[in-house]
Amino acid sequence: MTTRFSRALATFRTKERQIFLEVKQQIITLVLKRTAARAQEAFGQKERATALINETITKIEGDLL
Amino acid sequence: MSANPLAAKIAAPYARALYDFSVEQNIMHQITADFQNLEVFLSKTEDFTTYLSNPLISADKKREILEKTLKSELNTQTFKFLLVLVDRDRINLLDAVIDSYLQLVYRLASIKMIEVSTAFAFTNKQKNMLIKKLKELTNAREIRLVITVDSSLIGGFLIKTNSRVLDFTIKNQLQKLASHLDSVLEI
Repeated sequence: MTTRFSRALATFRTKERQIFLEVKQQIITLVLKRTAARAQEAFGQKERATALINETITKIEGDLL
Repeated sequence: MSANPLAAKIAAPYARALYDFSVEQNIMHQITADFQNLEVFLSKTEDFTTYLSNPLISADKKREILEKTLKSELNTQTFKFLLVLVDRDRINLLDAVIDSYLQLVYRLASIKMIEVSTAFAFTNKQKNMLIKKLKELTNAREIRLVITVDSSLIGGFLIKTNSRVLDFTIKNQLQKLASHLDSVLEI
């Protein structure tokens, strides 16, 4: 009885972990998709894209190359 | 085969042509190495250089001695170039040609080629800004930008040199966000 119960518990934990991993992956995918869409929307505008490039150029510093 | 202004002037177009050819064929490294070795070799073999400079010796004889002594030691294209000099009766200028060619290569060496991938094309003003900034950071005399536009980067740009990649793109920030989420979301 104890052995059967332990096996069932182990199976349950494995399934539980698998579901949590899937949920985690779905959350990450959702966040990334939304962020990517917003970024594309924001930086698709020429003014923002130009401003970002200008800001980045001024920010480059240090003994980089 | 001592270098003098006249010899240098005659040698320059040959060196330039070889230089352009080596860039085009992507064999500058090999030809440069050959010429560096040849420069040392010629400085140590005065008889050899005197022989090559002697106008009384036929081109065939000069070709023959070059084949016997240098063919196996040099890159095929370098050796073909030496034969061109023999055919054109300019092998006496070999020292000057080598000198001129190496000067071109060394000049190129202080020009830094930097690849830039960007989501949006740079304006001329931005190109100049970036060149100015990179000159400050690298101490290079010249910077040559090779710009490619890649819309998948979403925004910003990345810089590639021989040794480093500096990624300032939105795509890279999203990738960082992905790994951050992966590490912070505990189960």
